[in-house]
Amino acid sequence: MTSLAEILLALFLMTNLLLAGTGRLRQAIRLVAVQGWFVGILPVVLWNWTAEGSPEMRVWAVAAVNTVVKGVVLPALLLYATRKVNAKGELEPLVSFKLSQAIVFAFVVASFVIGKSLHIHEAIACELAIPVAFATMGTGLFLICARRKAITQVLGFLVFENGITVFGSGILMEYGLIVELGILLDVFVLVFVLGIAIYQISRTFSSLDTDKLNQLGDVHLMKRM
Amino acid sequence: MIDSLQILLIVLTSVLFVADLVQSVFYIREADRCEGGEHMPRWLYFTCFCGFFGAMLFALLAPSLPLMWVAVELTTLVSAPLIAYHRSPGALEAMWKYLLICSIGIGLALFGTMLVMHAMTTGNPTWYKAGFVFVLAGYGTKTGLAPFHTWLPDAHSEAPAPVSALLSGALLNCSFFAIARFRTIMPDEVTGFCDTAMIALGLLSLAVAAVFMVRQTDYKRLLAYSSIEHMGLIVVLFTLLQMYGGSEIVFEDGKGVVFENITGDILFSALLGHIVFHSLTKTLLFQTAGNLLLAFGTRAIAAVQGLGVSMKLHAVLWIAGIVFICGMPPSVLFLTELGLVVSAPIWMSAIVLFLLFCVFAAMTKIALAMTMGKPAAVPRPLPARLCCVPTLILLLLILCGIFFCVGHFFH
Repeated sequence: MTSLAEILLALFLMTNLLLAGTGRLRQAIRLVAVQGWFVGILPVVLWNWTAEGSPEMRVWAVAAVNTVVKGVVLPALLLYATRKVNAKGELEPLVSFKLSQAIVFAFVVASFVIGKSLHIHEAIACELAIPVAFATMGTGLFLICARRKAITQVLGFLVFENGITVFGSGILMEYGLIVELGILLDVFVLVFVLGIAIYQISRTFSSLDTDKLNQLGDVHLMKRM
Repeated sequence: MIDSLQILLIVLTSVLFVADLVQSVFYIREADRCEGGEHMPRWLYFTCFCGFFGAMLFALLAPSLPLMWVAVELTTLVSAPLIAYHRSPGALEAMWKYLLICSIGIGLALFGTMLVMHAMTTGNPTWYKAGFVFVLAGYGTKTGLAPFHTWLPDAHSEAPAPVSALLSGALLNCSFFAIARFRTIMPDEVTGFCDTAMIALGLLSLAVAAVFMVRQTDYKRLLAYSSIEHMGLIVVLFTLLQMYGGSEIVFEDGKGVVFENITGDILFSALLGHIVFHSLTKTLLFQTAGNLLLAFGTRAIAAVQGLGVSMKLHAVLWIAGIVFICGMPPSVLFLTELGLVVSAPIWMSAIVLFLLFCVFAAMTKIALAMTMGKPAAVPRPLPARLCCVPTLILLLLILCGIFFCVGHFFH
């Protein structure tokens, strides 16, 4: 089944590149939803079907809950938030879309170089998973830094989280059902709280630009010296 | 050792929770009256407050490393709404930064947890090293270690005083406990690397705190930087204990820990003493600072003068808290810092002493400026019940201090 997993991971990389290049919020949220689907079914695809037969109940349950939460519920929540605060797309990002795509592409190349140099062969389900995970985490962090809108930063966090999950599936990490569900619950509540925060911010600042969130800090102490 | 740390932190967190819950009841009512403006419903505040305590206990008691991650992330989620109790622009900004920075940090810690767990199955030291770096950066963000501390002064200064006290006194210790737990499971071949990284972050936190405290203009931020300083000291103490403490001998009845050599014993009691007395003193200080904020309506140091004339009890509480937190001789923190300085290598002692001196100078200068002189503004009269909890904590600090010193004298 490795070939199917490799196709899936290659598509995953493409969603990263597309995300870096899009300025429209709805499109970006849909791309993150697609990533959620991929992340959800990845453990089932990576399962060693020929040697171990059909996966146990735990794998199916985690895959189903993951797909539903990351692929349906969270994007729906974000779309609702976008409508509610009447958010427009990313009109003037800090880093232009072309340059963003180039940077994300550089991340991909770097991840493959690093992934090769790690010489990981033990207990890896699919060799492609590690570089894809690194590239996705990098893309997520980059999106958080390079975009102004609060909603896009939440999307960046979700992409970062997806990267970690891909890494976990790639090295066949088995925590048990409780922990998997706990992690998922945390991500869900986080997006929920961030959504409420976005609503409050848009009401108080009448904008979603995080540039306005720079009143606190101690930089002024340094300037007086 | 990790077991005694765990029990101590559970007791400490519970005591601080009760103290801050009682203070919340008084404080919130008064804050609503004088600040007005929009705030979140009180039932939600108290729900989150209790949930915060529950999440911290879960983090301390978690049976496995990934479950501990779930719990620590949960503490972020339930404490974030508390920071934005008053929906002012500053509070919303602090909440947004807290959520985003801590969640990314904790995300890195999850990655680190995966690497360490993978290393445990394969036994590869490179994976242990990589995992520990991510764990240290991740949980270090939550502990407030420089350079990952940027959320901390904002959140601590904008949150209502009892929340700041609980964040500083209890939450930072819980995430430090997570680092400590990972450090103790590291195999021998990577401990040198881990210790270097921890000492570097600890000293850097001390330095950053000292730099930002010297010219501080906001008394709640001053306390927040002091928390960064003390978390740095705790990390250094813990690492020195791991480096020089030797192996530990657990009594047969399991009721205590001794170390092979005397340095281990000194550092161990210094570590526990530092954690307890920093948390209690910081709670006292944050609650007093909250009362000053209610009375003067501003966090600016320049606006608060002549406390000794206008608010005598608060002046006593404030000066006593500052004396204790700076580690001046009657304070137990003096003994613990002395323990650190005598056990550390000479270069490290010199750096720590110099930075502690800077912090001491900054804090006492500001505290004296606030208490001495003529009152610049007339403070709002505050109900006496707001002073109950800080006064009780001060008495508790003095009592515990006497017990700690007497106990060590006989030891």
